[in-house]
Amino acid sequence: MVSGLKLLHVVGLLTVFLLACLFFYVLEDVPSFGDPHSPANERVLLSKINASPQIINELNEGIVPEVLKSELEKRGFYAEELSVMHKGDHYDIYIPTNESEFNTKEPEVPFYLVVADNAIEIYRYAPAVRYEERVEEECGVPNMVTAILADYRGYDTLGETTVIFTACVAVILLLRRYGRL
Amino acid sequence: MSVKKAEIGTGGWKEKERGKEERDVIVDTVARVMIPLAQLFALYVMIGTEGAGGGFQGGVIFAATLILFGTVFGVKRGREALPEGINAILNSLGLYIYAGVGILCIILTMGAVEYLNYGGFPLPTEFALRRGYLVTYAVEVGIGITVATVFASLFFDLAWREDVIESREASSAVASARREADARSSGAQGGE
Repeated sequence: MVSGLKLLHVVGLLTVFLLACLFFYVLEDVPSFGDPHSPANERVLLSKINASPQIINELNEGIVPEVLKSELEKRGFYAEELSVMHKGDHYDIYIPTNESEFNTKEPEVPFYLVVADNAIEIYRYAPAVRYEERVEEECGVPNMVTAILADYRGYDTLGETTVIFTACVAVILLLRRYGRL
Repeated sequence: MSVKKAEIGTGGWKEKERGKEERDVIVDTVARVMIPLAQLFALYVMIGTEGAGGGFQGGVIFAATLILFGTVFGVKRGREALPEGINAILNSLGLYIYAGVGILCIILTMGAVEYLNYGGFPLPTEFALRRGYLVTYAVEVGIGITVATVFASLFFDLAWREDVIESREASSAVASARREADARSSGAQGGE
């Protein structure tokens, strides 16, 4: 045993190694870098339910099956007044918007996505999809980054600006050497 | 050339007499030409939504031009161009614009929309364009004003020099006592 090696050092070293192991374990699940169609960028799997012919028929007719609604409700997602549209190999489920100021002529952005093969898989569209597809018609700004930063994430940017302002005030209080206001 | 006694509790920089500092012609001219262009570019980055950028980036570019001015022409002239009072007003004004637009959205629609929902702002255009206009011309400009003046203020607060400090401390008794002591010691050195 090396002299001077205390218990704290050993624990610290072990923690670092454990963290490295955890990182490599998580790395397995990370989608391939820069892939725009990776699940994290497109859809998030919520749950799977068993498929029955009745459910698929209801989906084809444009009715949201009760099983699916209860499944969404069980997981704490919005499940009232949904509408279904059949889009080739999957079904898009829309949520009506309630805010009075939004124009609701057309159905809003699809919120859930359902793939019905052997089992029915329920996905939630990732926010990135909405930003990419709808940012210009929703915000009137061609720059997606600007729209996200100042509009969708307005509170966040307000906080950032406040942080910079606070830093300035702190520096003024600590370091200002000449002059007064 | 008389060297001012300027080593009061500072790094010990020698201060040359004002107006007699040697200034490089090339640096001077290039700064003179580049600063307005860079400021124009900063405004383009700040307001133009077609390309990359936004309030933060444009504000930092604008602050860089102010810092360039302070570096080339001296901190004192830089401070004359952007006095501290105006600086303090501006860097809170930007934040006021941003937060005030959010408040105005609530007030002008009598509470129909939420805070920072720019679409409710009563401008005579459609919903999406209202959001676009406010994001571009109010929010980004507000962020830009704040960031530009904050970074300029950081620079000017860090880049103080002794002559300016002297003029400030001239009012305080401590400084005068120090100066007397300094004069006495320098007189003693001169005597040697």
